[in-house]
Amino acid sequence: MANATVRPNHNGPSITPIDLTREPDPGSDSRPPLVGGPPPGCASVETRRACAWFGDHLVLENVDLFMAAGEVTALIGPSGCGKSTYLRMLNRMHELIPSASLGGEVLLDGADIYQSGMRAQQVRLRMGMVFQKPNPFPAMSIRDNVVAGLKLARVKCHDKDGLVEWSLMRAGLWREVRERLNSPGGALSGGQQQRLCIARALAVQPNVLLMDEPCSALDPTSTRRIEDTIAELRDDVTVIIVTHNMQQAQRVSDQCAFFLAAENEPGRVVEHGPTAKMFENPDDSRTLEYVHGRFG
Amino acid sequence: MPERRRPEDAPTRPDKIFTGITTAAGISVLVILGLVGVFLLLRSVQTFDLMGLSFFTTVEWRADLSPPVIGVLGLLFGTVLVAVIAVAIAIPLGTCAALFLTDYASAGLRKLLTNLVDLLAAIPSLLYGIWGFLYFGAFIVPLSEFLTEHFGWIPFFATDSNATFTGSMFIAGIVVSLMVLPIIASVAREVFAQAPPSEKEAALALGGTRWGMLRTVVLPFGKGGIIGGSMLGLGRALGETIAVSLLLPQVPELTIRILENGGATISGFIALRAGGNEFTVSGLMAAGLVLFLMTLATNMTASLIISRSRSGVGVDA
Amino acid sequence: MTVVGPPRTSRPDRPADPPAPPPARLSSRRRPTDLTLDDYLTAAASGASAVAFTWMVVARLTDGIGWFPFVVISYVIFMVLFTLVTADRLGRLAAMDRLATVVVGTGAIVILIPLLWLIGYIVVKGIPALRATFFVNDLSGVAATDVATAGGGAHAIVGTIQQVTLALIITLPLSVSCAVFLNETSSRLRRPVRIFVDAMSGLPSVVAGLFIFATLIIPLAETSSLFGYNGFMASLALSMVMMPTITRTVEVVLRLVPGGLREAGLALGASRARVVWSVVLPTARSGVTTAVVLGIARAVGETAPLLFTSFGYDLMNANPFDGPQDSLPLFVYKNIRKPAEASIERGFAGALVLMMLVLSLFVIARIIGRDRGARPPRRLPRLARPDSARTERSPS
Repeated sequence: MANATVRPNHNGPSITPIDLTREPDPGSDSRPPLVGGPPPGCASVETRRACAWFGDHLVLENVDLFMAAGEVTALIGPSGCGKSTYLRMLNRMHELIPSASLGGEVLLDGADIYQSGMRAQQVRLRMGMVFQKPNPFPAMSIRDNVVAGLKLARVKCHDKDGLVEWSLMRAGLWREVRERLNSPGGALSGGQQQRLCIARALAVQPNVLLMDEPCSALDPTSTRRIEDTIAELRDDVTVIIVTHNMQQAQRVSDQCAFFLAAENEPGRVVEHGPTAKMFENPDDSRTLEYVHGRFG
Repeated sequence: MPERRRPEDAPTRPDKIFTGITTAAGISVLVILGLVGVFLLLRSVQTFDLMGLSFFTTVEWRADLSPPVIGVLGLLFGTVLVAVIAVAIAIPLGTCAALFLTDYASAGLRKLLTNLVDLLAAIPSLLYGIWGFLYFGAFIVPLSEFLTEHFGWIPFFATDSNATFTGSMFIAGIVVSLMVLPIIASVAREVFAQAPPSEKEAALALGGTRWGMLRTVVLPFGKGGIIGGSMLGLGRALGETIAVSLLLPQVPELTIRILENGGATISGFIALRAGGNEFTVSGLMAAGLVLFLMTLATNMTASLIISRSRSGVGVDA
Repeated sequence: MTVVGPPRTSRPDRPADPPAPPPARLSSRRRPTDLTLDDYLTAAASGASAVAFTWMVVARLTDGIGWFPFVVISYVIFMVLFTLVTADRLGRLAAMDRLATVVVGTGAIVILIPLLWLIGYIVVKGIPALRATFFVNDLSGVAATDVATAGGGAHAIVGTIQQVTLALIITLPLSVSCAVFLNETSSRLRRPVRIFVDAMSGLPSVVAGLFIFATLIIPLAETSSLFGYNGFMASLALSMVMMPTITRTVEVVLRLVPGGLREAGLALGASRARVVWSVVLPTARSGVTTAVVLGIARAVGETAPLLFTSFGYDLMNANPFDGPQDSLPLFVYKNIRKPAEASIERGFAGALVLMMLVLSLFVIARIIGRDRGARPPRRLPRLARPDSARTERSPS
C-alpha cells in the first residue's frame, strides 16, 4: 500500500502533511448481496444515433458510442457541447425537463431503455449517477444516506451495516466517518460529501456509474481520492465520466470520446478511442488542438 | 436523423396513488371554494329578490320593518373608509420599519425586530379590539379634539359641536392599522432584501449618502412590493371583523366625519347579528358576498402587482 | 492506476533559521461609523429645544391640549430643528441623510410601542382576576355580577383545544397534500388550484362562519344535533380559515428544498412519490412544523367564525359534536361586552390566558424554525505556526 507522508519540519514553517494512505480495499467479493436489486456485474452501454432536443433546439446530433462493460470512458470537450445532456439521456433523466425530447436508441446490455413498457425507475436503478454539486440528503445521517438508495428503490439487504461499511470503503470515506455514522449527512466538507454521494450510488450496486464532473467543485486532495476510487471500481461497474479536466481524463480513463459543438451547431462526437491514442496521436486535428489546450 | 420522440414512462403503483391523492387534494380546494360561492349566491337571492339593485344604493339596514329595507351602501362606505385610514397610516410606518430592518439595523437588532413585527401579526384581533375599545381610544380623543378644533375646515375633520369622539372611525382606523402594519412591513422587507447589492454599492461608491442610495436603488426597486403589500394589507383591513365590532357602534350611515362617533363595516355588522332570522341571514350573506368579492379583487390585484414587479419574483405573497 | 511516488514538493532540510522577531503590535481596531458624537449632541439639543418651545407656545397661546398632540408637535419641531442645524453644520446632503435616519428609526420604534403597550395592558388587567381555579371551573352557577374570580374558564379552554384539534385533523392532510400537489407535480390543474387557494385566503373569517351557519346549521339542525350549534361546526369554519394559510406557507417551504436533492433521489431509482415522501418532506420538516404551529396560533385567536357556529355556552361541554360549546375567544368576547364590572374582569382573565397561549405557540414556532442546518464545513488546513509541535491532518 503506497504510503507517503511528509514529516513536519520543526525548524521552520512546515507544510502540512498530506496523508495519502489508501483506504483498505474490500474487494468485490465481500460486498453484501441485495434482494430485488439490479442484476450483478457491469453492463455495456451503447448509443446509436442519439439526438437530444430542448424544445425545438437540437443540442446533440447522432452520437454513436459503445462503452464496454468494465471500462472507464471519459467524455471530454469544451463546455456547452452536450456532454451532460448525453449523460442524462443514459439514465433517463433528460426527460424530466418538460420541453426535452430525444431520438435514436440507448442500449443497456443490448436492450433499449426507451422501449415502451420499460420503467425509467428501473433504468435508474441499474445506472447510478453522481452529480457535479454534492447533494447528500441533509435530513439523514451518514449511515442513512448510504442506504437511502435501497429505501428509495425498495431494494432489500440483510446486512445493512456490512453494506454501509463496504460502500464507504469503496468510496474512500470509511476511515474518516466510521466513528460518526449517525451524524447528519450535511455536516461534512465538500470532498467528503461527494464521496458520500459516491458511496450512496454504489450501495445499490448498479451496473453502470455515471459521473457528471464529480470533482469540479472539489479541492485537489478530494479529487485525488475520488480518482483513486474510480480506478478501483472498474471491476464492479462501468464508469462513464464527464470531465473538463484533461489530465483527469488521462489519469482515470481507458477510452475517451471528444465532443464538440461549433457555433450555432449541435454537439457531435468528433473522435473516440483508447485514451492513450486520443492524447498522443489522435486522428482529427481538432482533437489534437483540444487535448493540447489550444482551445476550450 | 432519427425520428424525434418524447419517452413515455410507465408509472409505478406508488406514483399512481401519489398523483391520485395530491390531485384529489387540489380538486377539493376547487370544490370547496366553488361551494362557498354557489351557496353565498343562492342564499343572497332572497335579498336580491326583495331589494333588487337598490340593495347597493340603500344606506340603512332595517330588517325589523315589514317589508324589510336593507342596503349595503352604508356598510360599504364605512368598510372602505376605515380600511383606507388604516392603510394610510400603515404604509409609511411599515415602509420605514422595513427599511430600518434591511438597511439600518445590525444583525442582532434585525432578528429581534423581525420577530417583534411577526409577533404583532400573531396577536389575535380580539385583543386589539379590547385594548382599543377599553383603553387606547381614550388616548386618541384629545388628538381628535385637537384636529377638529384646528383643522375642522377640512371636511374629514369636521364634527358636530356636541359630538362624542369615542367609537369613531378614526380610532378604529388606527387600531386596524396596527394589524395591517406587519403585513406591509414583511412584504416590504422581503422585497427590500432582494435589492441587488451591486447596485447599492455602486450608489455608495459614487459618493452618495445612505439615504441617497435608498432613494435611488432600494425604494424604486421595491416599489412593486410596497404597492402589493399595501393592497394585501388593504384586503386584510377590509375583512377585519372583531376589533371593529367592538370599536364602532355599527350603525350604517354615510358620513365622512371620521372623528365622530359612528360608522359601520360589513364584517363587524355581520358579527353583531349572529343568530338572526332567516331573512336577516340572507341579507348578511348578500353583504358577505359583496365583501368577499372586494377582498378577492384586492388580493388578486396585489399578487399580480407583486409578481410582475422587478422585485417581486420569488416573494411569497 | 495512480501510483504515489516520493513527494517532490517538500522543503529540503535547512539549518535552523534565526528565531522570528516578535510580531509587531497591531494598530488598534475600530469600526468607522457615520454618526459622530456631534450628531448625537445635536439631536439631544434639538429635542430639548423643541420640547421647550412647544411647551412655551402651548402654555402661552392655548389653554392646554392633550399630551398626544403635544408630543406630535414637538416631534415635528424637533425634526425641523435637527435638519436645519445639521444642514448648517454638514451641508444639505448630510442633513437629508440624517433626517431620513431619524424618520426611519421613528417608524421602527412606533411599531414597537403599541405592541408592548397592548401586551402590558392585557397582563396588568388580567392578572388580578386570574386564579388557578380558572383552569378548572366553568361558569356554572356564576352570575354576571359575581366577583371576577368566581368560576373559571375551563370550559372555554377545553372548547378551544377540541375545536382547534378537530380543525387541524381536517386541515393538515388536506393542506400538505395540496401544497405537494402545487409544488411537486406537473399537473395542468396547478394554476387554477393556486388561484383558488389565494382566493380562499381572502375569505373573511366571519363569512366562513356565516357560510357554515347558512349551509349546514339552518337547514340541517333539525335532523341531527351533529349539524346544530356545536364545536364541530366551529372546527369546520376554522378549517376553512386555516387551510389557505397553511397551504401557502408549506408550499413556500417546499420550494426552498434544493432541486438537487430531488434529482439525487430520482437518480437512485426512486419513484416520484418516494422522493417526496423520503427526501423532500423530511428535509422540509421543520419548515412545515413552523407553518402548522403558526396556523394553530391563528386559529386559536379567531373569534368571528365561532359566533355563528359554536355559539358559546357557559357550562362545560366536552362533546364537540353535540350542543353549543364555548371557547376562549368567545368567552372573552361575551364577558367583555357585559356591563358588569366583574364580568369585564373575568373577560380579562380569559384574555390573558388567550394571549399567553398565542405567545407560547409563537415562541414554539420560532424555536422549531430556528436555522439548524448543516454545521459549516471544516476549512482547509492552515500553515502551521513556527512554534507548534503538531500540525493538522488534512481533513478531507
